[in-house]
Amino acid sequence: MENISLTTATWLWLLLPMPMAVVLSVLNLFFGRREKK
Amino acid sequence: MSLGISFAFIVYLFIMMSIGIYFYFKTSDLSDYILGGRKLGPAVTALSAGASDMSGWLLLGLPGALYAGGMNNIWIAIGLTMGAFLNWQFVARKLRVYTEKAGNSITLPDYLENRFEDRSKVLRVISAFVILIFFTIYVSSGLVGGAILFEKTFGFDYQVALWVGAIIIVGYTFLGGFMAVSLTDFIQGMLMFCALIIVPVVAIKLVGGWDETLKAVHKVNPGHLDAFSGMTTLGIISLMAWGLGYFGQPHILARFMAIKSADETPKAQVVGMSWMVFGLFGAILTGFAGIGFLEAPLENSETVFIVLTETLFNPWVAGVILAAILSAIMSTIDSQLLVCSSAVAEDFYRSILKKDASPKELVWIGRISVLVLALIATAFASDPGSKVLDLVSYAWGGFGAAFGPVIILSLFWKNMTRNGALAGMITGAVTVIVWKNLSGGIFDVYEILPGFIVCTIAICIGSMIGKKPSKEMVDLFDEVA
Repeated sequence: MENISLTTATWLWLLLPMPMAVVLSVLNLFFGRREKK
Repeated sequence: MSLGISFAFIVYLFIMMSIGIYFYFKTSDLSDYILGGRKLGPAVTALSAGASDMSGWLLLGLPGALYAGGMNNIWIAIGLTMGAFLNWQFVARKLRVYTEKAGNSITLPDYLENRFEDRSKVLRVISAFVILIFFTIYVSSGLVGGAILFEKTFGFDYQVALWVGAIIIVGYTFLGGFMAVSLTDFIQGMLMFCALIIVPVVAIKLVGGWDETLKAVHKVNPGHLDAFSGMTTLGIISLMAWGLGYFGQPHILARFMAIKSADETPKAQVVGMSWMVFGLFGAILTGFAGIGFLEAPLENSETVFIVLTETLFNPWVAGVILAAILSAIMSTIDSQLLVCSSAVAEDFYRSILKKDASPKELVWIGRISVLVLALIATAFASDPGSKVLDLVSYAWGGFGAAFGPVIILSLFWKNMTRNGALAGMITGAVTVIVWKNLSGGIFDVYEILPGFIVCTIAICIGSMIGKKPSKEMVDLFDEVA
């Protein structure tokens, strides 16, 4: 039976930039700069 | 008209109005009315920015595009995500700090005037004028969307639907100002988020799972599974260029300015980006689920979210989910109306007409502006076939190209001057207008891209020739950096 899926390039573009924006935001939360108190 | 759907809508609208009335009694000056006195928490800032940004497009346009054309519609979502991320990452915190240090600026024109020590008021007046023109059009298009939703859901006459929507939105914006708008945006953002998760998950489950959904999509058109199907490089760049618009949207930047502390921006960024990415995935999956679930093709692909909701859920639940569409529309209009009112009250009335206006007087000028602008926008929207909807991309592009590079460079380039800002703003806006009227070949690229580039070049040239920035300007820049 034919295995139907999104193309590899589509998966890549779908799953790389968008979730990466969330991951980088989380990293920024822990390692980003703070105002001097 | 179903009783369940009507009841959910009425409860929802009642809550929105109650929030407006509550904040009516809490508002004492213009800063409260248009910036909430810079007291927003990170979650409210994030969801308010997201909900103000994403209009009906997120629940109607994007699922509809995926339903009709498949995966090659994801490029705009990717571009927007990248733009929003960069905006949070590089602009949000710095703008919050700079606007406070630069004379406690409460509007973008106010900030530009203080940042560049423009005593002539030209910068303030031109930027406020651009805001008023583009947002009146933008608000009209939102009102058209709201009226169509009321018309389809309740069977109202278009004109009745238009006025009902306008009265509710104007009601709580007029009364409560920024805090009411931000809190309603927050609730609306939560509702949109839940709706965009629940609808596709339930629909895909009923189709028989993800694999079955893909099979159904493949059966309709195998090209729907390929993001590159029928796309050219120029087309992809053009769609992704939408992301550039974020840097210049006054209603989104106002959220950054209102967060209670610059240190809260990373938290807000995590909430905002998670909301956006999950929401966009939900919208993409809704389009796909629609292909699998609905047997007969829809006449209007943009109704896929509405049809799925009405088909999948009982009317009481469907009413709550459909209120999310109204939320998406209302949360964008209210924020835009408020920015317009700030342009009138702060940038025209107080700066030019009456410098010693009392805080109460300014709040009332702001309120009356909301009313007048909403009336003009409603009049524009009274023709359902009008071209206002086409102008949304125009307004997004116009703001992005006129203000985007100006805001970025004002935060990151010490030697930028008033003349540079003015040159950039005018050339950016003019490029968008001219480009929009040309077509074929390179002119098919979304006008924001050339507008953004030309604006950046104009700022650089304008800042390098003529008077250098004063010592005070440079000192303030160094203090913020």
